Amino acid sequence: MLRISKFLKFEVEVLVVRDSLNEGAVIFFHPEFAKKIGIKENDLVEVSKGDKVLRLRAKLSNFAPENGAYMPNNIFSSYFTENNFKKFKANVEIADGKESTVEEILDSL
Amino acid sequence: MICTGCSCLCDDVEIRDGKILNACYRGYKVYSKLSENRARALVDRREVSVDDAIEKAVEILGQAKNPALYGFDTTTVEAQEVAVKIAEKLNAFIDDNSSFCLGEVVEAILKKDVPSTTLEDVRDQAYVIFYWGANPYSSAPRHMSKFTYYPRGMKRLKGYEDRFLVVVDVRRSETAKLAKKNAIFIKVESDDELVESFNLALEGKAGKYAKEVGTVITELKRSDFNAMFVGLGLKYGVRNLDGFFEMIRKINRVAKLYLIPSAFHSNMRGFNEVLFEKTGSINKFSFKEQRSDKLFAFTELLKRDEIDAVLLLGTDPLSSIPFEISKKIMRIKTVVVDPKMSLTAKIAKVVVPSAFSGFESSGTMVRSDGVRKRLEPIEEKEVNDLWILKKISEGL
Repeated sequence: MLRISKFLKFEVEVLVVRDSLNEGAVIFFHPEFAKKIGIKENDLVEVSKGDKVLRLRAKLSNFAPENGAYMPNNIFSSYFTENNFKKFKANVEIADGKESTVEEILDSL
Repeated sequence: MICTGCSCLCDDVEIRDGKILNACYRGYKVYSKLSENRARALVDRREVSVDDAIEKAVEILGQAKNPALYGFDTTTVEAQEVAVKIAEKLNAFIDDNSSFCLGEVVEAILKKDVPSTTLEDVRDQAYVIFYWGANPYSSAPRHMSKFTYYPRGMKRLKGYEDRFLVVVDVRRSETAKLAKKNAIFIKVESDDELVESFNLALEGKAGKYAKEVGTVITELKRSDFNAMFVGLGLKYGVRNLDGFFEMIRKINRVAKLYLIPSAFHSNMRGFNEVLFEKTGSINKFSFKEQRSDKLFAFTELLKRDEIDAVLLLGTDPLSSIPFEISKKIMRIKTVVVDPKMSLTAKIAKVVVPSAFSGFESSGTMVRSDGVRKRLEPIEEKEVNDLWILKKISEGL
């Protein structure tokens, strides 16, 4: 079935939080907000900011901001942060393929 | 054993028959993965002996024109003291994670700009337990159960039923979800507006959060002992922390409110205290210029390409600081001392493998509230942070 949301791109404010239970290439959306922008649990999403792009696994959590998302503080979130280490704005769209890896980021060095 | 998984430094963790008792999931994770991904002695990514790696580290630091030392928040006070001596010997910059973490809060407490207290006194006496921009569920999972909200204390015989919980956050975090009975959750869009609301309320005027602030001030006035724990959400939520500290002082004119940083690396406060005792500054210090400055923060030095070598101990900048800044580590000579093969170790010029402080080496650490704890490791490894730093110091 064709998913219209596959062709949409949204700007989202992402908080960076300590989340010792969930590490890796993941991004958490509030269930209501995810519904609004057409993202489902375990969708692969492309998160982009300027020329930086990562593919992350989308998860749903009631602890996420109501109109945004959060990422655990690790190299995937640090990839996007600038002067404010705790939040950034990025574009999010549904993607195909596999999650980005730490090695891909290190290779970009 | 003292758990060094976070700055709570819980002193009741036991290892019995290979099982970890009393630890939270953070402490359990550190201990259960102790043997995984251990660092190896490397020079230019080739395996060498520990002595050769240290020799190369000495050569790099000794020849550097503008060296820096950074990290040290998960090691012991004794190792931190040697690190400061090395920085002095090299006329180097020295900094730790507190420059982008809760350093300003520790500094205000050390300079007695705001009142502070111990976690034991909070457990025994505190009525209002106030978390602002902090989510101990993730950062210090036993904080509320061992020290603050839940335990029974001398003046709080019914535990949390004898307390009032205040949570301030931009999202309904796990901690915020606990704010139900005898509690209030204040969801903010701007922390500055809440600070302003407190200031206005204390002058008898109404701000944006007048109703919520009124409730909190009424509860604070009910007791002569209340405690606030602040986290990174506050640090990055306000334009500057001076206005926040002024608010704390104003509140203290009408009700007693003690301030304690919520949680950070196991011995970040130890680093701040060691450097403060030596220099009068807690971080971002240049021994060449004999002063601290925001321009001397490790991230700022990297941004401006001002250093040519760095000694990193117990920190992984590639994971924790913005990538556009941390990637500049590739351009300088980097020495990593760490028990684990961290991401930064993978790109370092030299890696010196060390022991986990607290689990594999003894010494002293300072809890988030300033109480010193003597570590009781389950084994004592000879090659630990203190031993390595002493060797580097001797070599220089």
